[in-house]
Amino acid sequence: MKSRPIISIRQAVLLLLAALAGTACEKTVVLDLKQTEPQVVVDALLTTDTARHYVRLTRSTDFYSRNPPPPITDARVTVTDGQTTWDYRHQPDRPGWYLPDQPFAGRVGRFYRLRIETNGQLIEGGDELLRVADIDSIRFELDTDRVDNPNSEETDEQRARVWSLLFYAREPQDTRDFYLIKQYRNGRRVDGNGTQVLVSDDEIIGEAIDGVQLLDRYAPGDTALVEMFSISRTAYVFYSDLINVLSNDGGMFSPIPADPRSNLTGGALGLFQVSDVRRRSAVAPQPR
Amino acid sequence: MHAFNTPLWRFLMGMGLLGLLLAALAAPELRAQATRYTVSGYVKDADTGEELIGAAVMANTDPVSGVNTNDYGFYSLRLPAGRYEITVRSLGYATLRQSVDLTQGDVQLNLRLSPEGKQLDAVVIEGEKADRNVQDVQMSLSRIDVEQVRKLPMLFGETDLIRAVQFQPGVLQAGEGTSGFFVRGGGADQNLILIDEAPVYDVSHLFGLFSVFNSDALKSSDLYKGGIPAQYGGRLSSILDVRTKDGNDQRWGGSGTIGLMASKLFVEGPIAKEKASVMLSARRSYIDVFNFLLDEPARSNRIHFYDINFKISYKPTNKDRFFIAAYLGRDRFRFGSDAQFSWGNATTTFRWNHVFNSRLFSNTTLLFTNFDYLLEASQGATSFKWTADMQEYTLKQDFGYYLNPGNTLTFGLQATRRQFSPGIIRPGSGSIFANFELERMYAMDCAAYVGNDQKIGRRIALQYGLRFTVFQNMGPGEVVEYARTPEGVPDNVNIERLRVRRYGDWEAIKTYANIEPRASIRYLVDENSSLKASYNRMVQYIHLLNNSTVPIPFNTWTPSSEYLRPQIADQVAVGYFRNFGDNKWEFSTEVYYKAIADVTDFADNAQLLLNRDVAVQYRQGTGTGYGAELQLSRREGALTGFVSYTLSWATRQIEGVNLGREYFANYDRRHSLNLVATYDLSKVWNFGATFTYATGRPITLAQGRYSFDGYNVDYFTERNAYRLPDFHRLDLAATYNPKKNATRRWKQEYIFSVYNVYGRQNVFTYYTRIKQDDKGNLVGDGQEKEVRKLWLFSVLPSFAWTIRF
Repeated sequence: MKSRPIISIRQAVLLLLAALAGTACEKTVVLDLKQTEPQVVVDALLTTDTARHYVRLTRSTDFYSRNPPPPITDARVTVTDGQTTWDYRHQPDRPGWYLPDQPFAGRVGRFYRLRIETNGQLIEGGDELLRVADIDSIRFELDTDRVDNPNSEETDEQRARVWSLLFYAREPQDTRDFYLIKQYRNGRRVDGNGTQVLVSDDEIIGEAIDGVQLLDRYAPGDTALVEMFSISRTAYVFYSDLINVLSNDGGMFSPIPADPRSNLTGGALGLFQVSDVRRRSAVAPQPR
Repeated sequence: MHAFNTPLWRFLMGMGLLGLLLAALAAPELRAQATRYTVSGYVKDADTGEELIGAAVMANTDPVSGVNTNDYGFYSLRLPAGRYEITVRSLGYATLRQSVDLTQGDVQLNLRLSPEGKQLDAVVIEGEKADRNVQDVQMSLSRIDVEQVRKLPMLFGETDLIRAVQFQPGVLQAGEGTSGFFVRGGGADQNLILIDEAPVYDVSHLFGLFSVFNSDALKSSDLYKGGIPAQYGGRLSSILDVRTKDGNDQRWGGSGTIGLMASKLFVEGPIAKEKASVMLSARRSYIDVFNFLLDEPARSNRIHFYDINFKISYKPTNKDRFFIAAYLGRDRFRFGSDAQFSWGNATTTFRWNHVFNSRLFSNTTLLFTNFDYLLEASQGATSFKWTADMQEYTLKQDFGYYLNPGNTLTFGLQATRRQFSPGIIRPGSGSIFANFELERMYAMDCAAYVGNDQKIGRRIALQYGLRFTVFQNMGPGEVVEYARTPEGVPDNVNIERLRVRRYGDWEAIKTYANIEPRASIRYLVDENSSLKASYNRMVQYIHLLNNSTVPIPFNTWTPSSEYLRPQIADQVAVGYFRNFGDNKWEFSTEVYYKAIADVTDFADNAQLLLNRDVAVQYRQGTGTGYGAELQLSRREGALTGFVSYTLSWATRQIEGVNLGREYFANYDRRHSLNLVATYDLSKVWNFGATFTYATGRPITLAQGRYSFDGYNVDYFTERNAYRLPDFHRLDLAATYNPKKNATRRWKQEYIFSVYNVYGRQNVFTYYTRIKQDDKGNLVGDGQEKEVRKLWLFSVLPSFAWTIRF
């Protein structure tokens, strides 16, 4: 489903060089990195779920900071679809989180605008809510390799994960669509320790999406949840850029890293994502 | 705005050069009083029959009446009727003197030079040394001694021409184990790399650990960094002109080598003595054989590469000579049973040298080059086959006209047809992928050039010329008009196709024409020293789609088009050249300034592969390179080699990249110091050493971090604001030739080598990750991040065994 196989090839290049050299090594170093002005970071999602959709506002920190990013607590946040405007209020029990008072559902075809005022800074962003295709199903398939050759370096818990997760859907060929897939194991996000993002551009994808293997493995009894979001082209660009940043090798074989392009103006990092969403969940069976 | 780009400058330069040329043409008519005759022919190695390129041929040891043999070993001297002593000098050969009687008419004279230490010829031999460093007009030229390359330390048992190129002054590299090189502030895509005149588009094996040049097959290798003669064009920064051996036309011989990573076989010999010869050289790696040493999953991978060089030469007479040369090479990587990728080059050269008369030499060349790559995943829902390729067909006609000893004219024409297939995806069965095909692109480019090598008195020599180029991006094809940002560049976030124009077969989509003036001057201060200066304009019409530091074979090339203007570089260089100790030592220093207009770069985060709208990612701006180079070499004796030092700056400023602010190019390195030496202790042992030191290259690193949807993301503010630590490394080699070789038919050679002798952990790159323990488990709540340094090689011994016959 990752529409960009080259990402893994770049990583393969480095692995290969390392494997060939036999002596290639890596270790942690501490660098003297420059200090920068903290930037406003917007993490906002509005979906077709009837829910109190969130806008989370924080600031960037120094690279070596051990603390969570500092929340912004005094912003004025509104969202509008041109007919209704929702005021998002700061939640003192969850610093940095802004929610509307009442739940509402985003509607397909509407254009939503976000407006944030904080400390004299005006940040705006907008996107159209696009329809998403249905997920036909998700299914488990036994990874016989992991059953036959258990990895002795893994913990028992890790070794028990022998099911891979397959994804099935129909991709409408008459529209230009972009997708984001989020995946969970027992309610926890599966994203390769914060390094993997599944997005797709339908340009090189056919109609039948049958049995695409998703990330990681599941143990018997684990609950898998898969969410598929429609995203705009701009949001797709943002996530592709995010992949560049997360899987970067410092610009040797991968592109020189740069902050992701986004649909926000006013000098903020992050994205205002507006999505239709579908979900499927399943429980991993006992292996026969 | 660079001064060289003003129309006035171009006009003056063009008119000035034209005036000089006309003066040169007119001059002999005014002076042609005495009867003149011509002595002409080829200069060859007496042992192998290989023609010698660039040998100095003089009448009565008077350099003013001398010429250098051309790229095919031909010379011609037009002299007033009389008796002369012809002197021929070439590095590594005993100087040859031969009388010639030019009182009766033109004379054809082929000259055979004996390698030094094998002075068997009956003719007079003196211990005189070549002094081209001082005498030649050509500056900014690194002649890479192919023989010496073979004695240098190896990496995994392979010596490599490109590694020797990377040691030259003015040349930088991005990191060890990479085959890209960067000349005087230019990118890796700005080097024209030729094998027997055919361009090679990707010189890497194993992503750059080795290059495609198998040292067995090589005859000569010249790197032009400036003052580039008018016959060459097409890239901005350098020409690496590699020529393979014609094959020994005296006797059969060859060698076989077993190295740590690859085996090689080389055979050459006469089909008809002194008339026809063949050369075949083949190399195949067998890393895959050693897979059992690796851990899973690397163990199930299959990796190999191979090279084949083949050449057949037919030299029935001095008048007509024919050559066919071919190169074929490929890398193949297989991962388990279901994924593979591969890439390879194929080139073919057909050459016909014809001597119309003793003064007019002609070379007709037909060239074909192909580069292709493939990525394939053959199983499951994500199976696909991705292919891309490009071809180039060239017809080239070069003439050399030996007007008189003071003027040698070169002129010619070139026509090239190019086609690019940037990417096709075919899904496997049951695959989610759809058929996807990027449109093929076509281009035609033509060039005409004229140049003259002129001597004015004893002290001044000139080399100047003009190259006129016309480039057309041709149909079939389409041009999309995109919505632009307020800054006027195509919007690469909200990509909007406004209009599409279609063009038919052979219809010109976009035409560019340029005049490229070239000029060099040498002023001889005294017998041992000279001053040189040069100016050259180079135009590059094809562009590499690559936004990393080191190109990978999956980067594709694209022609200049509606959205990509040709890149234009102007370079001036001045230098001082001096030889010491009876020409045993050569010293040179040069300073240069290079200004590049419309250097091609790409918007931040540009997605360049498999992108229909890749045109919106193009960004062009200015590039600047300047610096100083010093080199001290010793060309002859037991100890040979050189020390080179380069002080340089390379910057770029491009709207839409790094917020339009100037930044250091990825390969900018302030200091670079290289030492290359070989020492012949005895007939049994010789040693090689290389040492390299360079300022770390720039790198873009996080200046902060932030949190988005659970991801802990690096925050960047500036491109290339940091540097890797300084790079330095010492390599040593020893070659053992057993004493018994003297009497053996099969001579053996054992080569021992140690790479990175003192185990320096030279940083290849940095990357960041969320803090993890040794086992890869996250530390704490996932908030903390860390920087990892990656280095490729610690101490690496290697071994090769060669047998010569």
